[in-house]
Amino acid sequence: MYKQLIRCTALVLLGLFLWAGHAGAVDFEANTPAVTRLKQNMQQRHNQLAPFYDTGAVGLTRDGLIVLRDANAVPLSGRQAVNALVAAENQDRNALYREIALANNHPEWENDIRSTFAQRWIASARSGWWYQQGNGTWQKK
Amino acid sequence: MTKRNYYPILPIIAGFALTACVTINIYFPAAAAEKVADKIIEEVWKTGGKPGGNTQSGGKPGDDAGNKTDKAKP
Amino acid sequence: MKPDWLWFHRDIFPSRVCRLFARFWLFFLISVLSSPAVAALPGFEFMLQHIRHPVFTARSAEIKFTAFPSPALVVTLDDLVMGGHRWRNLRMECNQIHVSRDGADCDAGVLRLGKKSLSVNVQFSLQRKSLIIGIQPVPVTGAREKWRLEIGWQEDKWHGVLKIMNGDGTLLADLLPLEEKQIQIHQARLNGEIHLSGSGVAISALSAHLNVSQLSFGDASGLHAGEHISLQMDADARQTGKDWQWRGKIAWPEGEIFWQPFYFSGQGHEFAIAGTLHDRHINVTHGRVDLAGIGKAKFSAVADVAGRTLQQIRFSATDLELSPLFDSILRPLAVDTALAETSASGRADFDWHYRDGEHQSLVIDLQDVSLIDAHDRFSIEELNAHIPWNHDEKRNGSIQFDNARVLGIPLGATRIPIETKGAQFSIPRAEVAVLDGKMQIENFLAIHETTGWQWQFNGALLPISMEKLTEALRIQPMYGTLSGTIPKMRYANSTITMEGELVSGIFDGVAVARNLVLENPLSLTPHLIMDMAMHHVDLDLLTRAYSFGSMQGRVDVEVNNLELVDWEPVRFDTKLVSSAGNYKRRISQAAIKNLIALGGGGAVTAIQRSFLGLFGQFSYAEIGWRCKLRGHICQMGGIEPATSDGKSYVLVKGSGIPAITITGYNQEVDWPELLKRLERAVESSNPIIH
Repeated sequence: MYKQLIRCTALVLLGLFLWAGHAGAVDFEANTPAVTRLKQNMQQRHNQLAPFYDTGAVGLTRDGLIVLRDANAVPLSGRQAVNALVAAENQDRNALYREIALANNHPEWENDIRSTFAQRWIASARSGWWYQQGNGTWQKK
Repeated sequence: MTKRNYYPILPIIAGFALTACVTINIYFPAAAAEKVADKIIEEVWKTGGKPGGNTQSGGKPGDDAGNKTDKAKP
Repeated sequence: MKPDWLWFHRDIFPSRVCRLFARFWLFFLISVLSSPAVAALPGFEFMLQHIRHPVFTARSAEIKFTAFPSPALVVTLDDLVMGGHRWRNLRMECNQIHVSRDGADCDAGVLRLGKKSLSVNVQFSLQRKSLIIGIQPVPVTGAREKWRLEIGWQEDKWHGVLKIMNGDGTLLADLLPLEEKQIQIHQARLNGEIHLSGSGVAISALSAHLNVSQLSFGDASGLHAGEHISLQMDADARQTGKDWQWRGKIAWPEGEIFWQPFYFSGQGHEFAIAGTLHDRHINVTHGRVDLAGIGKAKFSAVADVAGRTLQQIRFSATDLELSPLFDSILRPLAVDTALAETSASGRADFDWHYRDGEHQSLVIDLQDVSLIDAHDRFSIEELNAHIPWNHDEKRNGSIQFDNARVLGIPLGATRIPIETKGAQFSIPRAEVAVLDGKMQIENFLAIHETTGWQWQFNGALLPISMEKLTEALRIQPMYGTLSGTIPKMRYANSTITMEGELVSGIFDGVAVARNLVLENPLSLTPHLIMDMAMHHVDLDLLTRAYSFGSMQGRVDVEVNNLELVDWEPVRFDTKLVSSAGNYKRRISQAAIKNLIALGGGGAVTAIQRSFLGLFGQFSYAEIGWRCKLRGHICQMGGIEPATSDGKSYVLVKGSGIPAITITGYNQEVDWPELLKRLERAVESSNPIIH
């Protein structure tokens, strides 16, 4: 009886792995007009944001967004503009995660996509940029 | 005797339990998503120079707009 | 003193200045207590364990006076608590005291406040009934800071003047509201005078004239900060009976402030306020804000000091310049809305009344306003509006504009009457010029819910050219006119939903749109989802409109599950079939060539190909085309499979003489590529179409 149980479980597990392998090979779609539009918009904004990443005024958060983390690094008169840039970028980033999830017909993937992006933004960040660690503290790359 | 009757159910329960907890984790194609993310990040950040930590460049063809495949037959 | 002193002390801005004064007052009391009474004694020493007062508490005060070798006074205080501050080890020493029958003075006293050391001189005269205290920090800094307090009295009436020259304004931190204590004053210079007078222990009048310069402050995050600020402050307050009459004015000629999310630079802004204080109620009778570059506003208010509540505010402003107002105040509040990248110009009036925790009324008037979105999603020009609102009653207003543009669609001059009531905004009936036609709006009703705005309307479309509409929307061109009844349209949670069918004539047939849902219409990535059907469309008109090569006949088209993202299709299930009925079914040579080009050649047999050149027109029995679009891949099909393996399909089934059958072999086509090919085919075959 126990042998049967083990065999059964093994079969189920094997099936799962096969299926998992299959699922992994499934195309991950991120090529829709919406994603293209958002990418263009973010690309244009990046030139304006890059200096603030460099000075540490703006940092990458652990949830795939950005934040004005040290306003003192920006002249007083520029802080409002950075605020607006950060808000616009976050709007686009949120929309990007949502649109990629929709493009794959899996709206519920949005959070997985967000956390994947959060890791990859940080991994791709240039040295000197600030990012938020898993525990919430800020770290300079 | 009565106890024995439950045994065939066990593998089924085990199977359900396993699928229930494992599938959620493996369903999201994390590796493919990561490739797509890297591709998008590279594009969004390319204007500012080459991002330092980005070693990844090859997403699947068709992952993004700049890489359109023409699947139309002649 | 009355315990009432405490609330006075804490809650009223001008009176906070008293706290500064109270510090000197303490020494005054001590001096009065000690000097004259003991002048003749060779020395004394006494200690006070605990002094309690509504303004301060002191512990272990020690006063020591010695007459030999020279008269000297030492006052020490172990602990002094005043206004939320605590000092330890205060010490005042005066080694050279001149004592006479008339009074006493001390030329070179030293006051130690913790680590700070100040030089003090005191002149006390009984005859003149005056006390003068001068204080300078030691060592003398470049700014030559000097504080001078003069007090004179007659019987129980007294008058005090505090003169400040280049005073260290970091003391101003005391004047900030308690909850903003994390803000540090980095630098500030004070110049000016503060006059106080009263009788006994009560203050009856106060006036201050202060100049603050080089003020810079900030918190750790930098989200609240100011730099190079100069301020001119005037204030006076006078007690009449139980009431106080007061007024104050602050002018801000220089400097900049960032107070998340707002940024202001001092360009001569002025703030003036006057009123009364009666029975713990502050009544602002005249308030005036003059924001340079924006305009003036007036206000009045009543506040309950004890409950810390605003009971009433009336605010009105006329002729405000909208452009700077929008940049500095409105847009920072709208960073998450469609207005985040909007520029505005024109003038605006506001009138607002608030009472007992609720908005009572608001009237907004706009004159010659234009709002332009940086992403070209919407724009509106020459907007004039009168928008009244009242908490209880219905109000009528109007909105009119010369021209506007929403999602690329131009709207002409329009006047819209509006009604407001409570949380509702409605338009009973209006007509908006859209392109070359009109849109009638009926029963428009907007309600502000906790989740945001919701609205709905129905109406009608009076013939709008499809060609112009598709051009404005920058989508594939279509021809015909759009007209018909608009079913109920609803907006909630950033989504517009159409409840019912929109029916319109198109290419001599009938088009029906249903299940229309438009998500995030004003975002960067609007999603449009709908089903569409066209019945009995004239192929001749259709093909002529697209210069495709003439085809005659009638078709029914169904487009289900259509989804446009950013106005580009990403999904649909399309079926185009010949309509039932009797009509002429002919297809021209040019159209056939285009169809073949679409299929990528090889679509007709060699025998049929040889026929092609012989005839200009062919008969057909049926036309059919299907396309299932997912992403950018279209899965194609025709009337039926051409072969048993299902790899090819019949697009045109011939009949009669000469007959032609066209077979398609492409099962999967890249949709953008197909469109490109279609364009190319149409272009290259243009010359032979008749």
